[in-house]
Amino acid sequence: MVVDTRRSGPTAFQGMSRAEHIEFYFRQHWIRLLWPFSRLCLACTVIAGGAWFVTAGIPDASMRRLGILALLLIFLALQASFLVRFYRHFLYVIIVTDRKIHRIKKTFLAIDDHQSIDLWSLQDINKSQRGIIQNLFGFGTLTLEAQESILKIHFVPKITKHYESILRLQGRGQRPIPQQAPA
Amino acid sequence: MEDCTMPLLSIAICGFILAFEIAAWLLFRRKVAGLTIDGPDSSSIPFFTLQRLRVIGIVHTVTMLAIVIAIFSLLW
Repeated sequence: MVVDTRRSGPTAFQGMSRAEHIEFYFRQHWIRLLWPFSRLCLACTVIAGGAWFVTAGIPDASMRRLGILALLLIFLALQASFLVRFYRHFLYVIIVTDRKIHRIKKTFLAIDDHQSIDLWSLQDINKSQRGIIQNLFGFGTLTLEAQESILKIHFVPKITKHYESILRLQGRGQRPIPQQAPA
Repeated sequence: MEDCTMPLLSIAICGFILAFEIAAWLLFRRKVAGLTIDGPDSSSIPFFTLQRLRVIGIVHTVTMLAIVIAIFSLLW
């Protein structure tokens, strides 16, 4: 049975069963936003340079205004794009309960995915950290393999801690959630 | 004709920014409902709570509006 989150307390989430208890949750590592942020700063620097050139280099007033307006619109579009990207970062959540691992991925309009995998059905749990950056900042990829499905979770923060926590939960040997008999 | 273009343009752009920021926040709130963004208990409240995200959104909106007004006032 799926819990209606509108009537539940803050410990429930969409798709959670009544018998589940949240163990921990996490989002992707902050480094996921580093490139979009760097790109924004770089673009703003270029725009600032362009604005300086337009104000100092173009004598015609109407052309100057057009140039400034165009640069302003580009700047606002870049800001809006980054804002959406920033909010989207918080709409990607991995929730680990005592029964399942849920991967919830949403965007504003186009995507609303919810994948879950039973802890007891997991056959392999692999952790991989490739490269200096991943090892330095402690993030990586978790690969969860069940009989007929594979769930890959990228940019997992504090990956060693989360990997060990999932192994410990799996080791408890949780039983599957009992199905209610039809009326 | 040219005298009223600048204020109208600045009002239009500021209005668009305000509408976009509010729409983005409302869409985000709608989508984030049901996700454990504020933590299941007080010991695990993450740094970015909903309240802090709202403050970030407001600061971003005000900053963008200020930039637009400053550009229209100083450089036009």
